[in-house]
Amino acid sequence: MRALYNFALELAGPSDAEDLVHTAVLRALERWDEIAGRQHLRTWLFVVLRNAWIDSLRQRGRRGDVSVNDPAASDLGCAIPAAEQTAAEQEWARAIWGALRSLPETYRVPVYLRDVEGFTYREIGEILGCPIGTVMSRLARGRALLRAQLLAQVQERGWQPKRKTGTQGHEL
Amino acid sequence: MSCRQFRKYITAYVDHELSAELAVALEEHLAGCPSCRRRLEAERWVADALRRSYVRQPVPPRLQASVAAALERQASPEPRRHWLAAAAGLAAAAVLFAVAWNRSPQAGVLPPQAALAAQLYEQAVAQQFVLELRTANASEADLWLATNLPYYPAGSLRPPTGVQLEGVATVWEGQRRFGAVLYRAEGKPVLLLVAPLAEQSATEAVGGARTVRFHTYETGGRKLVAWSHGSLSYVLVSQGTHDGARACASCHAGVESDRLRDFPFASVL
Repeated sequence: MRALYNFALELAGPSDAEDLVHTAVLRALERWDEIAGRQHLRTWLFVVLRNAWIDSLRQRGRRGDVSVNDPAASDLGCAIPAAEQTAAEQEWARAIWGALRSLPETYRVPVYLRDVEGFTYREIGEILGCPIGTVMSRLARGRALLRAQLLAQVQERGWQPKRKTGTQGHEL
Repeated sequence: MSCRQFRKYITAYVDHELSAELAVALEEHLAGCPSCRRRLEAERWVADALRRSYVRQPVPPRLQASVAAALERQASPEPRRHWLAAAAGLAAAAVLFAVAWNRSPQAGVLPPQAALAAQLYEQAVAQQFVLELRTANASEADLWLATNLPYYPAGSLRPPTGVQLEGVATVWEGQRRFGAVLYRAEGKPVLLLVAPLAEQSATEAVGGARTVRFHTYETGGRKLVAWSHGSLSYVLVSQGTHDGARACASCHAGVESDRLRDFPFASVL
């Protein structure tokens, strides 16, 4: 559920994520008979959620990249940091979260699915409805953009790069 | 190939998605090309940074409640649905099997996750095992595991009569993440650990999905059953003197005969 909700956040932002997950779960339950025994239930649930999101966009008459950089979203990443993280680690996590948010959806979602959720290229292609080659090129571009964003934040905040990740700096 | 051509493959190499042949060719190129190595390290750094530092947001309570209500409506039906019939599936089967197959231990090596399963079980006995989702609803638990474990298929965690589902959690061991399901039978915990098959080579499926070899162990009053089925391996830990015959009868009653042959433990029931 948490993974689905976070994927919904990536797609639709916090204002629509809850409705999106609820709709996706209802749709999944309606079609549960079809998928009992499948090996890739998790992928299928993500497909259902993405299709629900596309349908919601159609209903609203808008399609294309959705910005999740709205005011409501801006505090979400730092709202509940993991308790065991140090302050520096939390700040770094917020920087990463913000950098990912800054990417266009075309690149943000494949990067999220691969690097956060751990899906394979084939599974990402299934979820996003695109060929594996497209997944790979979007990942490459997305990570390059993300790295540029992170380096900019490192400079902006005056972090000193270190070779090893620690509480004072981050390996670049 | 030129650097430009090799760089097309760096992303797939970082993600272990490149064919062995291309991976070897790229590695040979990388050995003599500092520029491409820097490109590789840059991409690897971003992927690792996200993997390590991304903090998932918790599910809002309102959403949890609405989804739980939807699952509850789905699970309290009408005539027995097919998926509910199949829902005396793997985990419940494991409970039953542990109960019914209480024989002397077989020779063999304990599966890799046995120690972890035993450790979690002792935590459960001491009431120190932390459930991430506390629920008696098998569908809800199944959905939760499916969305939290990359390898988890649509199994079922529905317990048989006399066994109560208490909840589920995921457990990290190094970089590996497993699913843990906690049941209770006769007041005692029953713990099921689910792992990808590659992680547990000591158990083996025989004859494809239709016959599964169960490895049973007993030590210190704890019974451990390990087996693999499909892409997953399982370790189940329990204790106590259960009424195996009653549990098995419950299982048979919950399974359609045409489904029985697909059950992982059909050959031993």
